[in-house]
Amino acid sequence: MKIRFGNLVLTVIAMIAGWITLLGYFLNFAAPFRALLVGWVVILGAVAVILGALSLGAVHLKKIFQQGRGWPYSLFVILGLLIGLSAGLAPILMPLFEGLLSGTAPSTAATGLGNPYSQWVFRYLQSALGTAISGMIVFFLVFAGFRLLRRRSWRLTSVVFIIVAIVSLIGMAPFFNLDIADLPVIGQYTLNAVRTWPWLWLSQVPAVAGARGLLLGIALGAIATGLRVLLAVDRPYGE
Amino acid sequence: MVQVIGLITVIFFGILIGVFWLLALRKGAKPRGLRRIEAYESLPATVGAAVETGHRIHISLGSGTIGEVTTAATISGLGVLDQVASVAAISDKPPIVTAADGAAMLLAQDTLRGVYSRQNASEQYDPFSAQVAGLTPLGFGAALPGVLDDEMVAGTVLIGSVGQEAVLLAEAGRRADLTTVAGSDLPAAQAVLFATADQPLIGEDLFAGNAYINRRPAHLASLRAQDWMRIIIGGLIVLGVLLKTFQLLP
Repeated sequence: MKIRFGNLVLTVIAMIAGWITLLGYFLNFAAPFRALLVGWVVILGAVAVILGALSLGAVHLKKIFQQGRGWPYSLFVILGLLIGLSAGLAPILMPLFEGLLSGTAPSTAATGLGNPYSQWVFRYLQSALGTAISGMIVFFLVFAGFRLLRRRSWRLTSVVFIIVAIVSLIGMAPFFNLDIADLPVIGQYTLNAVRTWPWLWLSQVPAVAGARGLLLGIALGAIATGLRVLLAVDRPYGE
Repeated sequence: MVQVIGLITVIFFGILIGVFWLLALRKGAKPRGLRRIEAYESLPATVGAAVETGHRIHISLGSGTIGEVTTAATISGLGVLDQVASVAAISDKPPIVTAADGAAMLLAQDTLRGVYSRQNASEQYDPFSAQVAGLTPLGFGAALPGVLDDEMVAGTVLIGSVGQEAVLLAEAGRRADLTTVAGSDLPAAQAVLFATADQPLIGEDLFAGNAYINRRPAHLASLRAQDWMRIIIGGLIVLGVLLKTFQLLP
């Protein structure tokens, strides 16, 4: 197998950086090196965000110029990018223009998280649209639940899924704000207790146990993936 | 003390992978059978259908980022991307990759470039094949249905870290009658995908893609080590419960 020098260098750098970062969590003498490398990752992450925004803009500009399928929607993406960029730059550029027009030194204005223009965009555009999409997800999930039985032809897992969903809905529903005292009593239990008990048991016992099992498996899978990268078995960089 | 236990666990896990890897490389070593995972079994047919019909296969790395806790899931997605793209690259319509992070996009571009380079078809590589679909999780989720529609996709593989917004992709796939193979490292998203995706990946199945698709000894050894670690940790939990129950532990 032909080994390229460039790939070998990349692999060695990645392995050394990975092992130092890992050991920094456990050994005190490696902690400063870990902090240094993590600091570099933060800077690279910020650059990656800019590259991501550029990629997003480039893809949609290409679509607009080539008038590909759904290109009118790309206009809104570009408009959103421009609005976001303008809001971010406004506190820097506006005092500069004001200073130029009035002939005085530009005043300082809030930038970053304190930027009122970005806050407005976040509150009235991004947050509002995000909430609307989150609202739609609920309806998609309800319809998906109904389709589940039809599609999976009554598998045990599907039946369990539906039963748990129904019990959870009954247990969590507000029950029309009825006073508990007004509800009929079954034996020594109120209807409200009978309604919520299965949901409480499901959510506190099997659901927690299942979630812990899932998380344990995911954690082991993540560690194994990380170790494969550290051992250079997986190389998501270079050819 | 906790740090020492953590270090010992990681080293032990690494040694286990190494030992099983060496055992798998022995002459005459038989490859171990793997548990059935329908999602991975259906993947070759999905990719093959896309290639034959002249459509694209869409591979999504989710809304995870490189450098945070979601890195492992994203790297797992990149491994599957490499395998899927190796087959789908021969199609007239090369695969399209979406991410929500610039670093993940760069790694996806690098992976695709590597695939085309290995096949001596570097001139066919299009950097726009790997793109950022949205910069926030919800924006990313909202953009995916558009990608399926605009890029004439025949099937979707979503392997990475993604939240409940994955339902938007799965629903768009259902409406377009596409096969959706999807898995996330977040339990809430797994529940959503169980209900919506054609082929959901549950639990650690997300990280097993490489072993199932390329069957390399190192990946199979990694899976075997994971199984052993699960047995050991499970045993320790049961032991802890017994010791605590019988008040043998403070």
